[in-house]
Amino acid sequence: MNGNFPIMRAIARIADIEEANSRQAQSRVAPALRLVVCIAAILLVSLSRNAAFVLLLIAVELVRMALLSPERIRRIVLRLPLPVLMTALLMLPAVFLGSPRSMLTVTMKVFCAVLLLAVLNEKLTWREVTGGLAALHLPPLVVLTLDTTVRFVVLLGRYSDRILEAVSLRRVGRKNWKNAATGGILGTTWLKSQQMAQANAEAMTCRCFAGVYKKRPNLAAAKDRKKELTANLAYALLLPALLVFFFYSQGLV
Amino acid sequence: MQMDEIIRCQDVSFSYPGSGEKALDGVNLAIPRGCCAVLEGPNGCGKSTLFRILLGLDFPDRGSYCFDGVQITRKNMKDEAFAASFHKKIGFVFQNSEVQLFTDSVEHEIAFGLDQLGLPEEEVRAKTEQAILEFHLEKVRERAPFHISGGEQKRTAMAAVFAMEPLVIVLDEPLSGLDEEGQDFVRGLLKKKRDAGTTLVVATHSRELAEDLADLRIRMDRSHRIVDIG
Repeated sequence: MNGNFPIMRAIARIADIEEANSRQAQSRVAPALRLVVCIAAILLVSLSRNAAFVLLLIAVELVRMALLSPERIRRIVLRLPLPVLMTALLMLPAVFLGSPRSMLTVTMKVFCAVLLLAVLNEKLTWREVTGGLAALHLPPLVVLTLDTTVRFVVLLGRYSDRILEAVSLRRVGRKNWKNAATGGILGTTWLKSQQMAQANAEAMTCRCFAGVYKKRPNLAAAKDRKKELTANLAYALLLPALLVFFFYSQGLV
Repeated sequence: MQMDEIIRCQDVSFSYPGSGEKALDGVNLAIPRGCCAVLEGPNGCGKSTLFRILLGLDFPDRGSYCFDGVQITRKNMKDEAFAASFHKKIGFVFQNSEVQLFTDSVEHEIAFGLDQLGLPEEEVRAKTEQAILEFHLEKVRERAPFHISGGEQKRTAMAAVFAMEPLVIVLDEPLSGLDEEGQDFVRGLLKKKRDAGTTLVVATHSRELAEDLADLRIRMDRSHRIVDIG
């Protein structure tokens, strides 16, 4: 694409990342449980009044990150600098106002929270996240909206990428083709999105959908479900472990 | 109406809102139960519009459409229970499978309709497994439907509809976008379903498929009418 339209290219690339994620071996731990533990960890990091708890979590997450593939590690590392630098910048006045430790603590907490989310993001696909949210009894309409949104982002990203390719193959001798074509591509993509939304709604209606997005049936075999249960129980133990260490590190026990 | 007719359209005319032209003009059609009807005609002759009416997605401006002895109208399709029971009996495979698939994995796509029918989880699982095997989707069962190939998407869309075991299955261009192997598979499958007594309504540009399958050949032309039934 010769470096043109970086936003469109980025959107189209979501498809590849999602595909790569969905091809990884599926974890036996329930996405809902992963979400709960991650949210609890972020909350405890926010509430923590000293560095011990935060540092421990950073260490654990770095170990988990190290077990991932190089490509995934690269993606996580690329996500970290911006929020951390922004926080450091915003907290900079604290140093001059005589409270340098505040800057360090807050920046470290942000680093830990972003790291937790980035690792979670690599462990779960978007559809697992929405599945997890459904299992946590989020309103079905919200889950349906999230599911449909990501699907459309992927499909429309791919669609606009195809048009972009067609445009670049036909650009001959016109320097400002980019400006002329952008409106056309966006307009066509918008029209396509409307058509797709209508076809999608009709397909759902034809398969007896009456407005209630039910929880997805568990299609795992009974044997696999036993293994899943064991893995979930083991993972669930992380929650009390986190709480115990949090209270211990805060000197509350 | 004869007792063995499952679909009957009587003098059906339809125009899309805002369009002065008729998309269907006085269409009369009767399809017997267990019959394979093949609809042929040039692009833009009204095949897809007729399908939308058969599926209760649009309603005739004039004339009537009866399915299994019951008239399908805008008013009774607003009743959710009626609409659900109607869609339980008639399934639709879109020409463009990509827009028909909306769940997070192939197996959930197949299970979606079964789940909506309110079947017990064990039955949903058993029927899903059966459909996965029948349509050779074992390798892609856990993948997102929008990441699989066109042929696999078509098979997934068909599996999702066929697993619900409707009385009538409407297929719009079932061979489009398929390679030879895929076309042979679909052709064989449709023959099997026809022989098993499922009513099929198929729109196609393939003469070979029409000759292979059709108990009833329906031809439409650019006047948006049925010009030949035989």
